Amino acid sequence: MLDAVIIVLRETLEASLLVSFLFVYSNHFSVNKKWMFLALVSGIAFAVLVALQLSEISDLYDGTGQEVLFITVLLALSLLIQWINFIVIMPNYLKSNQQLLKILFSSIIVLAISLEGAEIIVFFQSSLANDNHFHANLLGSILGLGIGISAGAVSYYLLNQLANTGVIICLFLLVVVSAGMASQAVSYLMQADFIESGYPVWNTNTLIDERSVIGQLLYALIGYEATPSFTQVIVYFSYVLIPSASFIYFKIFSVRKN
Amino acid sequence: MVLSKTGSSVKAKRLFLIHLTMLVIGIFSVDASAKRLTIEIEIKNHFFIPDKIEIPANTKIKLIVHNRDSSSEEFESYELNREKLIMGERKANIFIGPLAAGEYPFFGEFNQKTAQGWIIVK
Repeated sequence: MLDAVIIVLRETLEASLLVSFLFVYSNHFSVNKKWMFLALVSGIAFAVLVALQLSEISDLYDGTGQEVLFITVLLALSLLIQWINFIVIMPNYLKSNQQLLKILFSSIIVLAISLEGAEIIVFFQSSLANDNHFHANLLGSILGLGIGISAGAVSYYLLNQLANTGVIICLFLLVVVSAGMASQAVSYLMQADFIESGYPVWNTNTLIDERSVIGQLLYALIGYEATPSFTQVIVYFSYVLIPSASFIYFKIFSVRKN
Repeated sequence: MVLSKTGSSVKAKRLFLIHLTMLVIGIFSVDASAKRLTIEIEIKNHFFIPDKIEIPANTKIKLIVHNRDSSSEEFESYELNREKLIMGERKANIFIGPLAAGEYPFFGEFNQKTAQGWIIVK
């Protein structure tokens, strides 16, 4: 049962934290949340569709269909999140882009829920075919889903309470979440042999084991990888440094102007 | 020598074609030289068969996992940074390596108690 809890929790946590950050943004920048609720529902519908078609999808492109799908979704997600961060960072740009933000928020929610949801549904399908553990897996899945959603809700209320500080934390976390997604996309590029797989640059497994609870949590939150390849490191840090540099630049710039 | 405008464009075109040909030949020869080892394993009753695979160091391999069970499985390895869903009664290709010598465990995420395997790189 514990395995089921962890499998479902891991996927749920990634999506629910992301959604909670976007909800905090939408409150702070007064973006209408109606679309986001619609996006939640369509995300679940897409997840079911992807899960049901995954056999066919996997066979596409010489057996790399699954990777192609995941790479596309992960890169789209990471770029859309970065786009939002840039809108939020640039002070004058924000006011005229409420409509755009609404579309970006909703697209991210649809993509994230389809991706994570599909994996949960495939796991669930697998449990259905496995009589011995079905009840334990069902209970575990419900627990995992519940804990994951609760974690998202708690994160939303906490960050919302913090007002401006909460938004800055959201900004930081969204930057690292998108960096983690881009790094994961690179890992899939290697798995499908689209790019050469390099040797790991370092191994931090002795410091924080990727399998431990902290390791898993860090994976969901900042895309922690104990043995990243050189390309993954470069992509990750570009994703972190570019918005960070812009943030510092625009902050100093706006302070000087005032 | 001063080339006319049309002359230079013809030359540029030729140069482009030469480069394109070289590129195509290059890609094919690289692809042929990197001809990789293919290893096939099975998932049966939520076990990997065989559960130990020996491969040479610094070599790229194509691992084909045939899932003979009706239920899907997720091939996963933290050490290899690999993660792939393999649907019931389907197969999946996973590219691995080049790797340094050592042991790299992998597991089936949906049936971790039984589905455990090791890639031993020598």
